[in-house]
Amino acid sequence: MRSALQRRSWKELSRRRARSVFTVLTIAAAVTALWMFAIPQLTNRAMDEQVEEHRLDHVLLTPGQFSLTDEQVEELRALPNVDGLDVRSGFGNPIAFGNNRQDAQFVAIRDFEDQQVNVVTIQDGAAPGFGELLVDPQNSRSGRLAATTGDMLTLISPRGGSGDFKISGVGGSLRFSDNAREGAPVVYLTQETFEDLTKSANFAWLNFRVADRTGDRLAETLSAVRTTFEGMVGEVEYQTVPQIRPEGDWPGRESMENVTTVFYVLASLAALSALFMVFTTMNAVVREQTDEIGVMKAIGGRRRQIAWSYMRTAAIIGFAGTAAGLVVGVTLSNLLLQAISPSLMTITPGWGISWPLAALSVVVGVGGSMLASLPAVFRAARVPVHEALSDRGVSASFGQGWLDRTLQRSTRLPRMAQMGLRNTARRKASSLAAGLQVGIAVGIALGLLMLGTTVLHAADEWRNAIGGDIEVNDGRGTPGLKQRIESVPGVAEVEGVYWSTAGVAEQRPSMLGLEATTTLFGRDLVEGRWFTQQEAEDLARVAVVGLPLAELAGLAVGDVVPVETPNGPETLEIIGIDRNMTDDGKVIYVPIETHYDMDLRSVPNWYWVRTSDADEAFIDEVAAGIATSLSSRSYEPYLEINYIDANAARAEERLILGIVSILGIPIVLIGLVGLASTMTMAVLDRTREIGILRSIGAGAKDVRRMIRAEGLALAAFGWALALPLGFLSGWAMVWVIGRAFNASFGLVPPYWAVLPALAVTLALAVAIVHRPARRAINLSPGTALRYE
Amino acid sequence: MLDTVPPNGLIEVQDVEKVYRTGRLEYPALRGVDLSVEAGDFLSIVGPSGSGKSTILNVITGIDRPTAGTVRVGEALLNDMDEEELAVWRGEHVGIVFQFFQLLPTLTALENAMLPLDFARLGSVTDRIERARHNLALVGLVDKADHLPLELSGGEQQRVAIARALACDPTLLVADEPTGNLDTDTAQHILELLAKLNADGMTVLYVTHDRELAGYANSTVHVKDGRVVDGGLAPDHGIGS
Repeated sequence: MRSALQRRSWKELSRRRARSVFTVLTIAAAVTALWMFAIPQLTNRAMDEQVEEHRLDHVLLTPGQFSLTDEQVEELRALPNVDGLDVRSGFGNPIAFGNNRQDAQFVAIRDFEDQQVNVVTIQDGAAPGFGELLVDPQNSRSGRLAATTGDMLTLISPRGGSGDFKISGVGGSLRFSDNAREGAPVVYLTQETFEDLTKSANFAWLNFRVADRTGDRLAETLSAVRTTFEGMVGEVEYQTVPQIRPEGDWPGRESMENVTTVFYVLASLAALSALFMVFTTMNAVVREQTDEIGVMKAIGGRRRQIAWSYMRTAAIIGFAGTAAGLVVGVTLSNLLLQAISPSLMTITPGWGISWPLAALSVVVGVGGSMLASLPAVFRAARVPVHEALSDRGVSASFGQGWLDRTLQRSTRLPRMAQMGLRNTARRKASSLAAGLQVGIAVGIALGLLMLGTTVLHAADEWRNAIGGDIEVNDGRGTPGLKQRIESVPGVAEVEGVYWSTAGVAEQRPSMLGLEATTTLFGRDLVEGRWFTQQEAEDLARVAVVGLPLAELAGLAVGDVVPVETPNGPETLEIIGIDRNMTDDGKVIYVPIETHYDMDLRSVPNWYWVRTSDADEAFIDEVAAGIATSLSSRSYEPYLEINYIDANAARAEERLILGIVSILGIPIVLIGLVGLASTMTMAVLDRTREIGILRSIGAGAKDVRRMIRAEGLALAAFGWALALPLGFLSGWAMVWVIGRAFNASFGLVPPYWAVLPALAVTLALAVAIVHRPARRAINLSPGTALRYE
Repeated sequence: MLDTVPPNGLIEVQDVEKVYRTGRLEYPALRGVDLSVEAGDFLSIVGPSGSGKSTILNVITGIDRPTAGTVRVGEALLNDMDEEELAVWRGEHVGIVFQFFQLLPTLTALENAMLPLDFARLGSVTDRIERARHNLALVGLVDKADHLPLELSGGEQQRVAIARALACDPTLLVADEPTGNLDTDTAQHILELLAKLNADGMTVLYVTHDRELAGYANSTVHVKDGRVVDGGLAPDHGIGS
């Protein structure tokens, strides 16, 4: 049997039903926002499972073209600590599907039944037989190639002519699907088909996994594999340094983590915003019951007993809100994960629940509610009994402050609008809280817009850093290719670039050899200088590094750093730091002459081509001309058309920003719930007053005008607060993203959105006050006058 | 029960019942009340707490609707009017004074006094201000026109409430326990004010539980347990059930 005090705690819920509902909704919103933290956990869990299922490699070696027998492969697989090894071949080739023509990456699988590393799994159809192809599912997800099981894909031969190949199925691997997401479409074929097409039995990649990668075991195994391999094939000229996958890493993880950084920020803001509203709501509840608390004290209630009574109510509301929030939060986080994973990862994870987060939700939802009510309860319990009991008649809180006196001068407004405006000052704390909540909500929305405009603007700038319209990738470098490209009609400028990889301070950046006088690379130095023509001619060991790389590797202008190159160690002096995000800014720029000297090369392996007209159709024509010209001379380079990549990247960025904006919805909702709660309670509190107004002749329109004026005043106040809050929150989010990307962004505030934000806020306020106003008007004056 | 309306009858309440329903409980506040009031009357309604006297005022002003019976005030049959019509009618024809003053706390005395004029949209703003000042002068508070209710004493607030009730020059003034929250001297002043208004031709009804204060009126109606039990009036006044 429950005591009267305990029963009171439960009855409080139905006494102010509207307020209880709003408080429950707010707590639910806070808990829902917390579940945004679950997305990274659920993703990591799903990806870890996928990594094991696909047996993602630990090490990738690129020794150039090589040949191994089956016995030699088995001998490498049998080396100590090797837990799976595969050799693969591949090539780039133009394809046509319908009217669409583009370059694709082809990956040959020795034996689909015996894959030990980077396993390609079949999702639809069957593994390809001789003369058949398997397409990666990421091709269609990224919008690059819509071909599927049963379709015919045309391969355009470098020597002229073409051939149609049947697609046997859809399947992929974590390793290669990521390429399809970020680069060209990926297609798989058998080794036999590869040899028939290319007339070559050579391999290009060697991947392996280790059983034990603790301590130096991985390095020892790598050394053993390289030694054994080099013993089999003779002299090897590696194209890149060994690619070692860090523990726990997987393709697309960096992109995912960058996005989830924003999730964390938004989830934290939403949770804080909701807790703030719970705090103000519980404050208001207790403040309104000062006289009841006085009565309880007058009849013997002790402070602790009274406090526990309110805390119990808060706990009940907290449980209800937490339960609702858990249902919505689990659902929403999983739905969001399903929505974003195809763009950022190569899998679609299943549904999951994070139990630690569920426990945290209970702590925050229930504990937060109880804690939020404590200050007000203790404050009210300290009010002397006689003072608490004398809460009657005319409100004592209007008329004494400068704000009240200022509002009294609003005589030019219609009477009911004056009253509505002045009513905002009667409960200053509640009005301030409502204004803050609206301000936070609208501010976050503006901040997200600022994040979007800043990031999109920066991304466009970085894309335009490479001023070419077409890129020709030549693999190992072919003499005379530049002149060949220059002779194609429509080509305005060609610049040769030499690309390889390097190792510096545990980072594996790209190394680009550029002309000292490059015109197709948009330099954006934040510190130091570019290398000079003299330094290029002197083969000076100087370098400009990308800003993200500089921060990750702790590099500064003036540093002289050891660098690992495919052909041995080198030492480079850092002379500048550049802000561009080529290869995510993890790049070292050196004079092309220096790069040749380091890698024992003499011709570029990458060409940037600028066309004489930026029209997309013209660029397509020129690209086709280059492909034809090079094919006729048996060159097999790989073309990339920059506007296609740019469009795809923009679409992905917009999707991500769209999703981030959706994540901002809980925060906006919390703000609106706050306004709705304040207005509903304001109207309820003035029920008797509204009864008086109706008694002395006020029509429904008059009452509605008064309530609407109060709502609009609070909304406008909130919007005014939103402007500085929005700038601050946007700046904070851009800073966080900048840290995550190790990038520097120039802020692009969305000034155009300021007035529309006001219009939307006011419109929402009008909508929100409609229901409480209607309720107030529909009450008979007699009932209203008897309202307590 | 009356069969005919007296020739000067302003108010006619016929067989009115009022039952309040709260959850599963029903409370009959009025159990068949008949009352007629002539124009120019100064009537007090007396009874103990819970007798239904305030409810009678509420049905006469349309603040509450009777569960049964009819209420006519002047030419208005209140039963036929919806809430909106009642609100407008009250603003134009009835002045109401409440026990706890019920002034709007954010409006000055002048603004409170002109509020019904704003609702009724009578005259220009200047006209309304002038009229409100006139009524405040009538109750002796024109020098406190710019004061907020917070800055006025209980008696002053009640006088402002009376000034507000006079805003639209109503035919009927009703007051529900107008002195309930005032000291004896102030209460006396308020009732003298009501008497003066009546002397100037206004029909005034007021409710009180105090028989001594009831004596200020020309006639008194006694209410007990939701019924009019004693008119205490001159024979040509129609009352009773």
